[in-house]
Amino acid sequence: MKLEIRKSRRYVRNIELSVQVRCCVTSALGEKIQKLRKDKGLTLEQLADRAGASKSYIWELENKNPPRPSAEKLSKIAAELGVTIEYLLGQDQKVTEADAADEMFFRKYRQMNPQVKKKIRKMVDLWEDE
Amino acid sequence: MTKPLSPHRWANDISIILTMALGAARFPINVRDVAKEISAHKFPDDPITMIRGAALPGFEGALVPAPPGKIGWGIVYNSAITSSGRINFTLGHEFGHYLLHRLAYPKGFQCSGEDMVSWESEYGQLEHQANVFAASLLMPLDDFRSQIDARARPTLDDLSSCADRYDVSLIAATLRWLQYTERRAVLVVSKDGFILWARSSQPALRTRLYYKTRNRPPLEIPGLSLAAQRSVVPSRMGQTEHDGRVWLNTPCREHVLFSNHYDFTISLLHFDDASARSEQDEKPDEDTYDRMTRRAPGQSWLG
Repeated sequence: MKLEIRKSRRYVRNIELSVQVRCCVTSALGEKIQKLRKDKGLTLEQLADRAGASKSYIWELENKNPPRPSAEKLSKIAAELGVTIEYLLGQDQKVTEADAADEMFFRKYRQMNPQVKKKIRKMVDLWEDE
Repeated sequence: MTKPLSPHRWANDISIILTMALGAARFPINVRDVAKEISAHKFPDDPITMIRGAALPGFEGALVPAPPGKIGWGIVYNSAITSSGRINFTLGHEFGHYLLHRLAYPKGFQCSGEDMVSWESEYGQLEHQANVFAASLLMPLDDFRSQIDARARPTLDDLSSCADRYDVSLIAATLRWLQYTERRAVLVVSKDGFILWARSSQPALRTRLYYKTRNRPPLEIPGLSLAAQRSVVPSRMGQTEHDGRVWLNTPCREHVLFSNHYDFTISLLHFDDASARSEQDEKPDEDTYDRMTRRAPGQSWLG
């Protein structure tokens, strides 16, 4: 067996920079649409009919995070779900100083709930093993 | 510095140590203990010193360097996930990042708009390597083959038994089995009537039995499939024979599972062996084959 021992401390420790995070694949947008649709008891087909979109388009929004969703379709969907397009796109959230620091975190981490981020930071600061 | 070991190599080396120490009793692999002991032994200056879970909605896990005054690295994970198999796989994945990537990526991932494209693919590769490591460590092929023969046609119950043996999700166990089976089989994971993603065994790929889902419009599952007919399956699992009108224009046996915890449906499709001639005739072009076999499985291992 060849398992060499590396004694390397040459790399810089920087908690803000080296966090490697895995998070959910679905976008915040998709999650919001799906939750609102289910809360209203609508099937994919029903929401699609009401918003004048295809069933597969709604499914794609909910599950596949398409890069450039059409603003026109989104605003119809938002109206059917009783919310604003800004709410769906998350543009009503203020960018805080802490969010700016998160630029260095993995992009999906930035989409995470601030309370979850705070909890992770606290766990790292305490560094208590289970 | 010497070239880092590959994910397979790391997993194999650790498997050898575990087999010597624990023999047949090594399953399921306790990643928590293994990560701490192996890292302390191999890298005493830089071990994993903290593994801790908490309820962290929307989060799987992270590998983090110790804050000032502490040494080594830590793994933080979401302990609110209902499946212990998913947690075990996540711990294996983060342990993989520790072994494979901590030295090459001391500064982690910095992204700016212009390098996002290359960054995305590089990130995908790192994730893929961590998944390969976790799958190889938790489900060594020699042991898996002794549980399910490469020529067998397992049911979802058979694969669930393996998932229990290795403490991974049913989907992770099925993906691992698909890597060595000599049968033509396709795993299709669907949600609300559309295919989320699908994976084929190599013999299935070679005879063009596969679904492409990336960068394509959503594919609806066949209306005659069990997956599309929740009401005809009395419990959460079922199976039936289909003629060639249902999946991929080829007769098959579909084993279906409607997941309670998660919002998706699993269809395991068993096809008859292709004749030697058709296999030769229908070998897909290298491009397709490469894309289908090398693409990063990403999140799918978590099931």
